[in-house]
Amino acid sequence: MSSPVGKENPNPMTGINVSLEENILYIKGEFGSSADIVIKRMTAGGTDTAFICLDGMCGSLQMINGVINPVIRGSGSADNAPNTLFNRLCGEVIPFNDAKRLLFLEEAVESIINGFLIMLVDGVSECAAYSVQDFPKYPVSEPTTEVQERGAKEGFVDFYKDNVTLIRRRLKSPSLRVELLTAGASSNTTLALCYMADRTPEKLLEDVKSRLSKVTLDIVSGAGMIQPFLEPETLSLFTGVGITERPDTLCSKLAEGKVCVFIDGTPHAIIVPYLFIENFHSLDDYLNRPYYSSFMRIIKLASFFIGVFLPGAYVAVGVFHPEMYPTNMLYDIAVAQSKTPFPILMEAVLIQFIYEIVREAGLRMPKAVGQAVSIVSALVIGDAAVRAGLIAAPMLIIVALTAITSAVIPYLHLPISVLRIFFIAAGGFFGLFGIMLGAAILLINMASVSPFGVSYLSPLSPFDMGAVRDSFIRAGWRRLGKRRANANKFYGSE
Amino acid sequence: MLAGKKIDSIQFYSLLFLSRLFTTITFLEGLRGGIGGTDMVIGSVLSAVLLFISAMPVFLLFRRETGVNILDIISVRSRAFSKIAAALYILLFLYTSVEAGARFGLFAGEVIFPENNIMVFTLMVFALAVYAAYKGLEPLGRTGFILFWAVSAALLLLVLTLISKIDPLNFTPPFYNGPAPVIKSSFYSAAGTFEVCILSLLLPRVSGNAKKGFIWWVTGIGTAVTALMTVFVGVLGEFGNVKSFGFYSLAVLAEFSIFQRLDALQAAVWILLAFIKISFTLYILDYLICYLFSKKRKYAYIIASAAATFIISSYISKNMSLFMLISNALFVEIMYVVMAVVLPIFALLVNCRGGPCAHPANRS
Repeated sequence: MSSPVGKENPNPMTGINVSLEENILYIKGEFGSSADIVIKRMTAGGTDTAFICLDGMCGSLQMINGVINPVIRGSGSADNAPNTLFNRLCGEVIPFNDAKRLLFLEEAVESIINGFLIMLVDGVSECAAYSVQDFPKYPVSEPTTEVQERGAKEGFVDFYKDNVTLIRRRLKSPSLRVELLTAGASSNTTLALCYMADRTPEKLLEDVKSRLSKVTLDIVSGAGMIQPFLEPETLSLFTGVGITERPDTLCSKLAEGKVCVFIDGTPHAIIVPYLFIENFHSLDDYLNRPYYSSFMRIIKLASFFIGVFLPGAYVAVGVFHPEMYPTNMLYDIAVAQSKTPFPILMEAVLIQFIYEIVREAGLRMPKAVGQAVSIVSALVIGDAAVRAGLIAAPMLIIVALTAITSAVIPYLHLPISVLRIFFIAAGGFFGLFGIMLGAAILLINMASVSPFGVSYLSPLSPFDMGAVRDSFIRAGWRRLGKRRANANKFYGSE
Repeated sequence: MLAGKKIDSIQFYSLLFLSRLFTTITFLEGLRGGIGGTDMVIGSVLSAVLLFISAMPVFLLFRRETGVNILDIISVRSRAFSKIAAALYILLFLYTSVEAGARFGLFAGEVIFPENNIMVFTLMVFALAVYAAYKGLEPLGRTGFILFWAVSAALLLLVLTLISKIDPLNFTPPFYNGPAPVIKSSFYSAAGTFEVCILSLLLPRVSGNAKKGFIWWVTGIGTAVTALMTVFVGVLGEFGNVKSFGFYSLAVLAEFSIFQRLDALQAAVWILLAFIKISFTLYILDYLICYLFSKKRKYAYIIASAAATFIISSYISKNMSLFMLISNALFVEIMYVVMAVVLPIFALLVNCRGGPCAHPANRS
């Protein structure tokens, strides 16, 4: 039975009544006139029995072959007392592993909601719940947001149990623990907390549970709704909570002693704590040769800096420090800018906005139309705007470059988009001095983010020489295998 | 008193390094007092030795006591004395922040935005410094460590790109005017390092090997200042005597690959030094005011300190003679000796007579 979080139940639980009618009335009262509640009455061993479930949530074959048929065949004579009959049905007749006996009507209602089949027997003050769930599920398929060249092709799905199975298949260790919680006063969404009992710091686990217990939402429909409750209190564009849809990635994080949370109904798993440098790591880094992986990590870091600072620096140098350009470049840029009607700052902000609009349209549009949107934006906004003299070609190159770089680090796209505009403004108003000050304040902000006591900038600051071999570069497996990363080791900055 | 997490000694000394480097980078020709170029280079080396010697009382003090700072040690003997010491430190750091603010104002007015009003920019720097000080020592330390590398790289680039432009004829014979200018220069350079006073207050919050860190810090500061002074004298020679901010003039001459002007980039990196110095000083001021009064208004103290610093330093930065007056060598040296040497020796004597003090955590 999962323990509820995010809601308090001050009312005492209602025990299951010995009267079958009373119990059915209670359940009918809870579900009202809902069309999908199915109540099947029958006589088993001479005693009135009822099976209750939600239509569409249970598998018909499992229900019939696993529960109802055995009851019909094996209920025996009418001489048995209701309790004896119930015990015999549960213990001997129904050959079902995933079953539980419940004492309270609230538990029975919750089980029905979760797709269980409930068996009530007249004269018995408990009921049995059978896990016969079989609802429509999206099959396991390749992850769409974390595409890897050499990694596994399986990604997480919406149903949390399948996701736990995907983890279990890869992490065959008894120390992998799964705890079920619920969140959302109305949605009663199941959260599956996964961790390695022998590696996860106790304090981290307690912290995560404590924060999850403070989820005060009515409906939980995605990882993004739980994420803020696990984030550090510091107001920042960066988060110390990671998200993945790859089982292989998650397994490596669990092996580092981190905690993951699956939210039923979403294919994304939450990972805590999550450090800044982890945004630049991908599974392919560990599967390719170390020299290439190290090179790619440096490329990704450079992409981050280009994505955040390049448009701002371009505006700053163009407005305040044109003498920094080499003479030829200065001439070309000056000619290009002289043909456009907008000041360089306004032009940069405008194109960034247009790019974000195009990107959003490309994401939301149906695939076929999305392609058309891309072509129109590339041709109309790109080529025609330059020809019409509305936008300078160098500015378009800068924006295109930054757009590509932010795609290199997909989970940092959000902060990069906002910071880019911020640094364009800083550069436009105060030149390189504004950009430097902005960078300093960004660093202060990032340094103050401490997800679960770990410095977000770790292992860069506080510096850990040993961790460098798997942060900015990636050492070979012979060296990497000797040092096991563990959340215990970077827990706290002291 | 020493609430909060400890910070790594590398982070702590990175902060001190950046803070001290700001004084060097914004060195004003008027403060030189007619001392010759080569004498200043030798003075930079000697100042590192003086720094090392002047910090001895602090380390002797913390050899006897761990986990407590100078104010806690004095308070064992007399609570009133510790309050007086805290008030003196507040005045010192208020002076430091005002001096840094005024230096920054002068630097910004002459180098960054010579044709515009710098008030908005200076106000922004102070506002951001308030935010940084509000975040506390840990984020400041972590940021300081990263900025240390950025600033070091920028300065290294400056030095390397200018080495080829050094003219040996610019170096006057050492001790040409006798040893007095060298001694004067080294005393002034060492006295400008008020960061030593921060050791007395924050060293108990530093984890790792603080003594080793200190040696590295003094060596680093000595090397950086000497290298910059050598390039400054070697490249600019007598021309350096007529420029207000000599190091900026030096940056104007630096070229790298196809880039013929790097001064704006260098100046932008140097802004970081001002930001760190002001933030760090505001943090210490807040820490001291909390000690003297109440912890309840912690954040209000930072804002009040920043506002006071901003108003006074803005006024001073518009009046060069006033700035010269507050940066007077004798005044700075006396202040340094009192706060960095005499006060720790006093605390040491108090500690010897009053016995060991209890760790703040064990006090009621």
